[in-house]
Amino acid sequence: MKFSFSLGLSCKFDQTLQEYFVLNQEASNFVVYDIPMSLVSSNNINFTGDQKEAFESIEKLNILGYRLEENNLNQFEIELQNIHEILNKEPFEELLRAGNNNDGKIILKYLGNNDAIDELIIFLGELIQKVL
Amino acid sequence: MKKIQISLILVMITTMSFGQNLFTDFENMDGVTSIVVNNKMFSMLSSIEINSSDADEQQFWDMIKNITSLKVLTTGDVGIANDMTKRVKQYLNKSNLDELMRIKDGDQMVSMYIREGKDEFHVTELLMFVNGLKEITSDQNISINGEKRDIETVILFLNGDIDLRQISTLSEKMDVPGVKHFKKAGQ
Repeated sequence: MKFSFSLGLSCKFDQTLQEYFVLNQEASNFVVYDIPMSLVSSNNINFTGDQKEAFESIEKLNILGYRLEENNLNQFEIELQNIHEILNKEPFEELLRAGNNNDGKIILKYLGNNDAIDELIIFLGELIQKVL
Repeated sequence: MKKIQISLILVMITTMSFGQNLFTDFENMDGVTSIVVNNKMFSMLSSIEINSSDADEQQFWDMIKNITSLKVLTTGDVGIANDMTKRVKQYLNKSNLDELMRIKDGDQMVSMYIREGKDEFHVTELLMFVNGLKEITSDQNISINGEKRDIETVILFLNGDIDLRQISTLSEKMDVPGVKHFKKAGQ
């Protein structure tokens, strides 16, 4: 089974990306995880003071994934295009992007200022299919 | 006078955007792996407090802050590599970059071009073009996602306010084939 994930790490989502999440969370082939950080235990991780503070500043983790099967490749391409459109249009600042057409791509964008990130958008296209 | 200024600006815009085109034309092509790291990423990285007593390390982070963008294109496909060579040549003809160095060793070619900045040690634009790497990389077992990769050509664009004397420090931190040649440039 192949997965393609778009993952948002955020305090609040910008409207249109949020709309995309809401619109598609019940659509077939989509997988959704909304994880409040209170559920994620950090007890077993040895953080330094700064790391702990950073970890605790994360409010919510929203993950939207697309389950890729043989018969929904066309739809997947359309959704990929939609996502790219949203990510390119909104006032997200790009941190980095990398990858290629065979192994997939990663795009990192954020909303905020130099001192604090309000939202971090991690987009992975087909990148982790071999990991899972 | 005004006309000259305007045309100068126009020339600058066209040369700048040409480099951009060169990159975007290849970026999404099958068989091409690309990396783009923007200034925000660099400034965030360098704003992370690094308590380093190492002067080299400190210089490295100071230099990082001044990079506005880093773009890398690599391919293992000989056809695409030839296209890249052609496009880079076109770009160099139009953009008035100065050749900094050129090294040829067997099939391998490394060339570096710069646009000089505020003084002789600073550059605002740096283009490194490495060709003919297949010979080396085929022995190295470079694998990504468990598949063996060959790398034939690497194009690296750096924009910002870059101190050439610091480039060698950067080259030690980056794991891009051919970057070791940067060392010679800093000397």
